[in-house]
Amino acid sequence: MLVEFKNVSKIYKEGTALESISLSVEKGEFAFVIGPSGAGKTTLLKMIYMGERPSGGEVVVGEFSSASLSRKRTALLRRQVGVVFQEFRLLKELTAFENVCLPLRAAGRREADIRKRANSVLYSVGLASKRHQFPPKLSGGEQQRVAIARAMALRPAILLADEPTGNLDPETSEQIFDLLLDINRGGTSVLVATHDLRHAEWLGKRVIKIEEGKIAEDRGPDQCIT
Amino acid sequence: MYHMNQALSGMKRAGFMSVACIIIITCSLLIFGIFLVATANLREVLKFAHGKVEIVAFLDERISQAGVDSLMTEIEAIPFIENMRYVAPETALERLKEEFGSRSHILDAMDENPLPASLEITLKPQYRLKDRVVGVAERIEKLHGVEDISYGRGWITILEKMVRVFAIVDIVVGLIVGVAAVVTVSYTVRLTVFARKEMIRLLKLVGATDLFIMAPFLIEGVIHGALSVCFSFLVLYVGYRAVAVKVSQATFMPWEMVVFFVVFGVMVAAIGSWVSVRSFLEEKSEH
Repeated sequence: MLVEFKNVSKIYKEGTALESISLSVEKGEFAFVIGPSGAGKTTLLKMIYMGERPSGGEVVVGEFSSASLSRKRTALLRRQVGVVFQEFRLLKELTAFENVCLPLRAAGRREADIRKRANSVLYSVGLASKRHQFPPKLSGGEQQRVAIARAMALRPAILLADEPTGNLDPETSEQIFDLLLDINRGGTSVLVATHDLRHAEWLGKRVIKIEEGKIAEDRGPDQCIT
Repeated sequence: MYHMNQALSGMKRAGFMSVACIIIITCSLLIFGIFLVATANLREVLKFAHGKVEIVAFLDERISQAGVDSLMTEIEAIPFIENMRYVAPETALERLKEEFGSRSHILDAMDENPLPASLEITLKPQYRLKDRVVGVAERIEKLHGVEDISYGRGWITILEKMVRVFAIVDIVVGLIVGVAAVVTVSYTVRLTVFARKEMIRLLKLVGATDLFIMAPFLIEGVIHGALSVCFSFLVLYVGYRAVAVKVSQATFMPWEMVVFFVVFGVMVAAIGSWVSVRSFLEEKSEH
């Protein structure tokens, strides 16, 4: 088991975001987390990369547990969890290549290895020829590809995608999902939070439906969504 | 190398804020530097005053030359004595006349020289402390042939009080300037840190440790500190040269004070940066 939520709750001042969530994600699994805006999808993903800590319960990711995680260990955990966002979160002042190099540098890799891996991962997302472009010069789809390349640079065990196609047109969205499926075929678990049911329906993957901070439905692959 | 490049490009991006930071640290260091130069000069004055500390033993007028020789041998046997000089009554009168200057004729009215012979005794510099001087003076006073003793008890007490007070003022002002500079620098650096919040958040997201994130800011702090030390040192030295033209005895910082000043300046800037980034990392610890 790669990710396990054990009766996890998250309470903010504004209210409860997650309530008694228990679920697990296996190695190599592809799953959608669906639900309306504000249902708690983003909070659930944040719990996995420890961007938020549970108010109650425990989140376990591989060898890391939210119950006892120092700042240093949090950094180590994040090297095993790739994250992409709707708004890409690329640094505008760095080229695509330099953006992809960031996690490798943070992990203390050697310069030659950094260059080799960054080039390789940019090639795998189809952006080898645009590696020296700055993000503002790239299309939305290309920026998201750079963000995915960055997230995959350290070969994480799981890739989290929070509304990855929210800012993209349908055709580009298809390409991004194809890329995520490719990544998953390579053995990386993929967890996609979206409020768009279409892809979840078409791809026939596991769907975890969240409503008002609770799991309303958890369907295995190829089961219909209600 | 990566951190150094990041630090330099960070300074370039920060532009005005980086310059503001250097100006603020330079001003803080100038205040501290002026104080250090003042301290160095006061220490010179105190050193000079300490050099003047001496014991004068006035001799009994009936003492023979052999008695004087024997007395001098006894005094020389006392440890801590650096130098001893016999002052004959005639020499003492000559000195008095010199002090009276144009009015020295007043002394000519005297039938005989009223001044006694004396021994002027100086202690080794490290022993010119009140307790030591008093101890030696009392010992000499008891010797046969010594009628009276003078060693400026009040002056030594004041001198030692001044040394103690200045040592305390040194520490207090150093601390105040140090803390004020760290706070000012950390607030200024905070603005440059804030300008790079996206980078910091992203680095945290991709698994960078706090040290990795802080390193460029620390290097930046050291560069700010080093430049500020250079500028403030230059201004201080030019100021000192201008004063030295009028006051030839004025002195600049001794080399150990210069080393302290450089280390202090660089440390203040680096600590200021560290405090600023650390608090930012803790505030925005997640996301």
